[in-house]
Amino acid sequence: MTKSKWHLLLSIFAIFAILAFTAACGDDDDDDNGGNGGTTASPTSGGTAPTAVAKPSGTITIRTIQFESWDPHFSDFNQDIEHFFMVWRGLYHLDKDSKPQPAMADGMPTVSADGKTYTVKLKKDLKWSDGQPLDANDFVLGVQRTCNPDNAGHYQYILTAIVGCQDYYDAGKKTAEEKAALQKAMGVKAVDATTIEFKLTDPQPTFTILLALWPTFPAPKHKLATVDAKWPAPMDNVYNGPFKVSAYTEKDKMEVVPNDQYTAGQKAQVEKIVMRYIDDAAVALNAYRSGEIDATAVPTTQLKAVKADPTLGKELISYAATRTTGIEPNLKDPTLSKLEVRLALSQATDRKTLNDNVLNGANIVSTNWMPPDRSGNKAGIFDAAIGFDPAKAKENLKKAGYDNGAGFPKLTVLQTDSATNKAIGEFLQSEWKKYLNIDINLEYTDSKSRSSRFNSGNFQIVLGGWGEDYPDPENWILGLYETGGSINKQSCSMKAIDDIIAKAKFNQNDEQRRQQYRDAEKLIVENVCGMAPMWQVGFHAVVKPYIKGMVENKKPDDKQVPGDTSVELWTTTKK
Amino acid sequence: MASDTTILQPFDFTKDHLANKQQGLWEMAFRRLIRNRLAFIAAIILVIITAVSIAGQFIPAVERHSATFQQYQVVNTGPNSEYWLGTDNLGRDLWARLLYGTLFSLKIGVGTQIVVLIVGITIGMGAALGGKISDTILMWITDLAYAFPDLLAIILLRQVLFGRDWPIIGTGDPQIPGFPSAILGTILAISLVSWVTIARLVRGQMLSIKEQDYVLAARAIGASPWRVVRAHMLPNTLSTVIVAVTFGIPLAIFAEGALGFIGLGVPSPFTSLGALMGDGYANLFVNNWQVVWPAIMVATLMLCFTFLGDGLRDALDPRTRK
Amino acid sequence: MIAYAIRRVLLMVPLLFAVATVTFFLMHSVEGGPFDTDKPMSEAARERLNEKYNLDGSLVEQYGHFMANTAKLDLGISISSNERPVRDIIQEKFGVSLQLGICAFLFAITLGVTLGAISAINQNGIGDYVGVFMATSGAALPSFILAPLLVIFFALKLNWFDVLGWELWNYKKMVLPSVAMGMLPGAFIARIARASMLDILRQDYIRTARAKGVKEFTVILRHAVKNALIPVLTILGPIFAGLITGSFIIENAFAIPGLGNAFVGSVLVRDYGVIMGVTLFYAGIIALMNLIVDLLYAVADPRIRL
Repeated sequence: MTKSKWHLLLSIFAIFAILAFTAACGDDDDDDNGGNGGTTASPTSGGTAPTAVAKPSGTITIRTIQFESWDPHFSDFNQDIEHFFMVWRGLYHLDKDSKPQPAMADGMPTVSADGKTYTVKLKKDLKWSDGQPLDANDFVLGVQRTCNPDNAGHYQYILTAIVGCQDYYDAGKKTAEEKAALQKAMGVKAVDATTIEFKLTDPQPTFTILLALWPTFPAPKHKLATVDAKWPAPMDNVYNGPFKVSAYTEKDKMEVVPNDQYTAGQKAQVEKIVMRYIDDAAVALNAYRSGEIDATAVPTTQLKAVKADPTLGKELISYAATRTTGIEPNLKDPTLSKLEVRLALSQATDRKTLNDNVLNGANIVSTNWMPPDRSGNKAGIFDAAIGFDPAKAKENLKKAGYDNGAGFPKLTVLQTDSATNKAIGEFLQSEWKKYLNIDINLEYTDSKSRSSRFNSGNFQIVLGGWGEDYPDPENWILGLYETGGSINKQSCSMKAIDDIIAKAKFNQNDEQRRQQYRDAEKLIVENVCGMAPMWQVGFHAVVKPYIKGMVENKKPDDKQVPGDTSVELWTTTKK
Repeated sequence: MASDTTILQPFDFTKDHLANKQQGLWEMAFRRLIRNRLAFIAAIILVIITAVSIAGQFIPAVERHSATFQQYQVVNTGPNSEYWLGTDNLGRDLWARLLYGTLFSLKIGVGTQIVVLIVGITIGMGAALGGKISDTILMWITDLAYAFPDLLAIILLRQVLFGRDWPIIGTGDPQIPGFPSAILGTILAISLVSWVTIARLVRGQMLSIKEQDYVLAARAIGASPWRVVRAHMLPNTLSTVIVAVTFGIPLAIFAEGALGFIGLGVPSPFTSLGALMGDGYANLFVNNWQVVWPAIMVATLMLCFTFLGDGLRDALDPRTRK
Repeated sequence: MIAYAIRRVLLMVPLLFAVATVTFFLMHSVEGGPFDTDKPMSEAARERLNEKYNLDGSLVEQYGHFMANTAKLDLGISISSNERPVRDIIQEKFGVSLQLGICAFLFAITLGVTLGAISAINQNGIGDYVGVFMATSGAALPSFILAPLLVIFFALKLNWFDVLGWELWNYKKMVLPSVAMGMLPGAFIARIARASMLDILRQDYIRTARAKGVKEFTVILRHAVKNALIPVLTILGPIFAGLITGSFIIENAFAIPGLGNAFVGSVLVRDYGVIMGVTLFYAGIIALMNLIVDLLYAVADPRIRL
């Protein structure tokens, strides 16, 4: 009968269900590892600031995002760089005023009279986290990896001043022997075990800063048979920074513990740092509220909620990041190639209302391209030229031949999809209609599509900007605005700008050089040459009060939480 | 056919008689539906919501403020006499946006289910009644569509469908009034991954009905296959399909909302309940009404469609008569 | 029936092949590639990377290469995860999604069957309304709103559970994700269970049992609920498949490193290897579940001939 079949089926199902239930959800007796929520008033070790000799204590959990690549000689992602600074260090390290200080190096470099040869001495008895010696050859290998065409490092472009780096990088299609020869010919040599010599094509004034960045981090030669060898995964790699990796699960978390072989500077003061990978910033903020993480960045959309919260409001720290956002017109577009059109769009943009009313006042409204601290230009000096002024905007549009928007083509603004960008786009759509009587399309894509479109010049207007890689004005201009510059995708091309940049690039006279970049900025902004700045981005984070060293060591280029390039200075009095 | 009518006079009586009986069945179902208080109330609420949200598009007095008009002096205000439901982060009236978003979501939900019904019933019927080869091929296609991850399919389809000059669904002026390309593209993308359920349901139901005594009897007395399908099999499949469809409408609305939530929603200046919830979610801790209104609306729609669907099922199933 | 099962399993091979083909060409037709970043890369570097991940050559060549490797069960390496083998990634992430999926599944069944039975027994009465209302209201909110609301209420206000993560045996991390994920399928099961119970309660053998004087409670439990589960059983396959393959929304809301998260992530960064691997894995599981459902149809209803 069918009934017996049903019984059989049901029995199978019941057994399965019971098995699964007991297996999965049966007992929950061992959840004593939670530890959060509860208030364990454990004795704090005397003072609030432990001294350098104090034993590391406590765990700090921060929110960050899964890194894309573990290879410092390849990657260019913000969150990757945050990871790198925890576990590796270069010859120098930027202090909280963004000045290079010796890290692995023993003192500042010796520079030859022509400025083209840098000689760096290493500290004595440096070791990797596995106890193997760390010497000059490791640093040479690191630089070679960044210039290696087969590794195809994203940041190779900042090392082009090193003799032979560019030739090597361009040798992708050559034979192995030719590549090896080019690698040898590079201007980076280990003179002896503790001395490294860099030869430059031209005297680059910012070179010492570059020696503090991840593309020049050392590579463990005992782990890498050749310059082409695969970079070891987090758990297999060795480290020379204040911490080393002790646990890692992709998209879940990474744990780092003090590296006891690290002798070059301040030793780690916490027992463990847990980097919890949380994509959604709102989720991270909830985890912060419940005490599961100790620090996280606060997104623009949550800013108002955080400020209004009696506890979180006090734990909020806000400062200006070295990051500028603006309207980027493509000068190859026939409409946008007209200066008056570009000026009209910029002058019809009420940055203050947008920022204060729509974006919760998250950013620092500005028409400066470089942050004033970096350039030395006064804030607001370009307001008269490109700042909000509906009357001038209308006039400029008329001059361009579109009186009251008549005959103006429907331009498309391309943005990555996010709640904030949607609001900005809708604001511009409504405001430009109001002041200029023109219609625009809004297009939202994911970031890969946007990058592809931007880099191939296939766009009319994008909303975007620039985040500083290293603290010098040249990083804001070089490659971005000269004709044919590798990052100049808005096709800004003005002879005056080209001339200034050419003069400034290898100018040994620092003050003159900075003035030249200031002049370049003026030309770029007043001609809206691919950029109408809207604001300097504000960085917002919440940090639990029992954590010291984060807020105190904040820098304008912090990645995910305050002070995350100086983790050895973090301490906690919790537990 | 027309010339045959006079000759087949006696059969016409039977035809009329049958038609009457058929109509009686629907009438009875309708009466039973009305008697089911919950389903009846749900139906009325749905009619009101639809009517008000459509009226909002045409009668300024209902819309009160334009759904896209931005006023930066009144961003994120709470509900008050001027803005009944408050305003959003760009100072737009949430009442107007709720009406706009509700209509948009209803269009997506209903539009999706229409496409799903057409595709699903055709394929399900073809598989159940078209013989072994047809069954194998159609079910293979169904399996293929089913096995394909929904999200990837929707992302890819949107890339193919959006912003190109396709007939009917392409950019430019809407070919079907009230259905611009943004809606049609989304409807197609969601439909193409959700017709499978209906197809499988219809096939299963029909395979089962095909072997029922009354169908066998009808075939034995020589009823044409089309007649058997139309008079017996389709109506008997209907109750199952209706339950699936009424559940499918809010599910499609959810699906669109989820797409909006992961950044693949409808482009500005359109908005939907999902997009409204996504926007409001960002302000959950300070201006929670921004998420509350669309959430209440979605929940109401979901409840109403569920009760209506259950009521319809009960009404259409002769065995559940009390 | 065994012949049918074998035929269906054999049909899965061309099915997976077709899924792989469609995915492959659609995936490559999407704008943007894995090496598109804010800072453009030099042409030379891009060529080297394309070579490294077999993305050089024409699309047809790449397709041939991919198919040849897949036939050898080699899914290749991930572009974005430090060159990890795709198979490792799927294994690791599926482990998490499977645990969460099973718990959500059990929750959905318990909720659905209970509420469905209560509703059916009290058709059109208070119990019916309460049952249907409870089942529906749980599912009346999309999971991307339901999940944060559960978190805010149960984790932040009441402090009963954690906000983040998934950990087996730790109820603080298990309950909320399971509930948020199981609500919608639970409501669906409740509806099917209710409908099928109503059907069963009108069958002759129930009437017979009642006429014999069997207690109402026994009638319902011994005869009705048991038999009403059959149609429910047939929809459990797809629900189960859907739950164990992970939900991006839920995994995102609780920061759980599961398969749904990995998949959406791979689509967003154009990690072609992972997209293909996960798609094939999904397709395989779903095809398998469908086969099981079809077999169950036949077992449960002998009138269906396969």
